Amino acid sequence: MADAMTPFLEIRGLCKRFGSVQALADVDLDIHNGEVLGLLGDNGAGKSTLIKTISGVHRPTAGMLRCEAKEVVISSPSVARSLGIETVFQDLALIPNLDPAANLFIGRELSWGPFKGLLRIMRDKAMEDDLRQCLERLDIHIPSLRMHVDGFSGGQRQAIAIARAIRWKAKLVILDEPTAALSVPEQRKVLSLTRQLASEGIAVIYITHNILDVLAVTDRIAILHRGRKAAELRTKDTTEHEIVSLIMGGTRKLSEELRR
Amino acid sequence: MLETANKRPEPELNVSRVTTTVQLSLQERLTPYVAYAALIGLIAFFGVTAPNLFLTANNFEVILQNSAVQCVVAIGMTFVIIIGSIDLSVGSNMALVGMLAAMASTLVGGLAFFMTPFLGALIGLINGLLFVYGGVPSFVVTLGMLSVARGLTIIVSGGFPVNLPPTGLFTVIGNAPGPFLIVIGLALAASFLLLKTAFGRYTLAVGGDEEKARMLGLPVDRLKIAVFTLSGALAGLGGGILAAEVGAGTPTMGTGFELTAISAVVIGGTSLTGGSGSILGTIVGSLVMSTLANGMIILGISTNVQLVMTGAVLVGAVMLSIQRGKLRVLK
Repeated sequence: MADAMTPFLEIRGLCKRFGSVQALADVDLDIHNGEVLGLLGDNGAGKSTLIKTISGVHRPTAGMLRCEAKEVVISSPSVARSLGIETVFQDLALIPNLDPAANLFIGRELSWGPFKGLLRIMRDKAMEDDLRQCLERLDIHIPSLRMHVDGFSGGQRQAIAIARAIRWKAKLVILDEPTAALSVPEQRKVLSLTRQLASEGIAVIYITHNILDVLAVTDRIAILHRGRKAAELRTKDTTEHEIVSLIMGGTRKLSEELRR
Repeated sequence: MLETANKRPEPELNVSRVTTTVQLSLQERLTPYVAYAALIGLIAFFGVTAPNLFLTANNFEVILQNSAVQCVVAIGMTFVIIIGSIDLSVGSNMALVGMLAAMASTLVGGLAFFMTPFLGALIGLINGLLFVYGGVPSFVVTLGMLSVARGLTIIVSGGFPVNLPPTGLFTVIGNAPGPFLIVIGLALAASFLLLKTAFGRYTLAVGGDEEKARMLGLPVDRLKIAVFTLSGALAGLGGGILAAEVGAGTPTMGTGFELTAISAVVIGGTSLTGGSGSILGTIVGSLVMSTLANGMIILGISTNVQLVMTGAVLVGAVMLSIQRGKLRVLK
């Protein structure tokens, strides 16, 4: 039975193998509502594989996932979405040749009349108004509601993707390198939106190589090294130096208070 | 209603905290207008060189008649090209369906016309299923269907034409304003489909970035099959109209239609790389092709030179309209 203390997602013994490559080995991790978990690790550590498994792109080779205390099999991105898991991948999963309103509602468009599926008739005005409200609430500024999103800056696209996660009451949002290639003001906006997600009770996994981001925005940190969880610690209990050495050295260190 | 999908007016500059300036390149702004310019240019050219024959109401009616069937097929092709695929089987589709309808008309008369979109859709469905579930590229699937459908046409007809009844529905459809009205209706419906339905939106999404569309949970496979089915249906319908215009189903009809259909779509501004497209553009592109053919015939240009000119117009239009920024690798 799920209660306030139950993690949104419990990962136990997760393994993923691609042919002869063991991308993930025996990973245990809890993801809590309203908390930003930083996921760090060098390239090839398994961060990408882990989030793709959680978001239904990959099926695990072994291990178990429990969502809101119930065991689940996340067999596809649609299943992940139905559980409330939204990913904001590095390339943002925004369709470049559609406008922001279309992207906000992609796959879940508002429609007129009785038609279902592919024949649904779009309610463009309603969707645009909805988008406007979302942007106002989150204090996001974009130059035009009608431009294709590939004409927006990286930070604006990131903001729209995050707005989408909030709009659809995502329960877990996975941000993959969200501040990479952004200008400083845009980075700060993304960090503030990330804290906003957490304050809405949403669980957040924040993948980054940027240690300053980690210290600024995360509550806990999990470090992967060669497919295994090398360390898990509270952000306020650690330092930049320690984080870096754990990423590189991968020595095991688990804080006592985080042990179940 | 007949607006270009996703080509909205240039956004105003907005000086806010996070500003962006979007400079649409000259090519991007020109893209839908190349077709209009080509059309006006051709009309002007032929109007000057052969005013008596070209600039008559009767001749314009002929142009519209001739472009109608091409428009129908090209409208279906537009959706296929928007998703980044190609349908080379439309010409053979037209022949097979036209022939079967002609044969059926000996039994059920004009009612046979209503079979045509469904027969065509069946052919399109087979294309779509082989493409999606067989994992065969659309170019190859539809190239194969081009041969298969043409072969079947010759087999069922024994190589001979089959006449349509001299009166009835087919004659109504085969003569003005039949085809013209059908095109108008189809163009409006297709524009609505592209701009205002989930089908149209997902067509653009799949064309824009198929992988992301899939990751976002869009029914990509179903959509692709539906697009090919639609293209087939419209090709079949085109076959029915062409047969009505000619008065018979013939084994060689529709030959080469796939190339003129693709040309019409591309001249109309739809990008071969997918993700954007316009029904109105396709219609103007069709008119460009028909006007060109008509004018060259009037000027008495030999058929060989006609082929050269048709190819030159196509390549020229694509050179002007292709969005090079988006095409990182040219194949």
